[in-house]
Amino acid sequence: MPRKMRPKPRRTCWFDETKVEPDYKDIRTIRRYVTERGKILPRRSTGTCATHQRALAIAIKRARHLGMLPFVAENMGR
Amino acid sequence: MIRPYEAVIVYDGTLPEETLRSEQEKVEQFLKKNAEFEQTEVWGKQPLAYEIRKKRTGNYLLFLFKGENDMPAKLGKELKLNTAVLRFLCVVRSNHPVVAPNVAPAAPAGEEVTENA
Repeated sequence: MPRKMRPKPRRTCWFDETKVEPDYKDIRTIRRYVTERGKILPRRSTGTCATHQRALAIAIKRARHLGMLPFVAENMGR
Repeated sequence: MIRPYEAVIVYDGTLPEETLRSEQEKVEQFLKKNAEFEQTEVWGKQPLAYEIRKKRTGNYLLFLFKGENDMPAKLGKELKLNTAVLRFLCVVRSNHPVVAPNVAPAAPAGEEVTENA
C-alpha cells in the first residue's frame, strides 16, 4: 500500500516576505520559531529560507545566552 | 578597523537603582575613553528565562558605540571582573534596523508556529 500523501503546506519565508531580519533583540518574532520545549524549529515546518534559518539560529542562540529565551522546556513560558 | 558595535549587558535584577545607574555610568565612561560612545538604551528589569546565579530577574542595558575591533575583547575583560553582571553580549551591529526591539521573556507561550506538516 502506498503511503498516503499529505497536502503540501504553503512554504514561504516570513523574513523574505516582510523584509525583517532575524534579530536576537526581537524576541516576539524569534519566539515563534522555537517549540514548546525551546528547540529551534526545522525549516521544513516553518518554510524559512536557508539564509534566514542560519541567521535565525544565531539569533535564538544569542537570545538564549542573554536569558531571554530558555534552553530547555521546563523554563518555557515563565 | 572601526566598526559599529552593540553590547547588551544583563545586570543582577536585585541591584538597587543607584548601583545600576553607577554601573551604567562606568560602562559609558569606559566606552567614551576607549571608543566612540553613541547611546544607551535602558530595557529595564525583565524576568530571566532561566535562573542565572540564582537570580530570576535581570536589568537589561544596550550600549551602542563605534570602536576598533579589539573593543569587544576589552569590554569583556572589564565585565568579567564585575560580579553584578550576569551576562553580556557584544556584537557588530547589523545594517538592518530592528523593527520591534522588545524584550518580553515572560510573553505567554503559545505563539509557536502552527503550520507544522
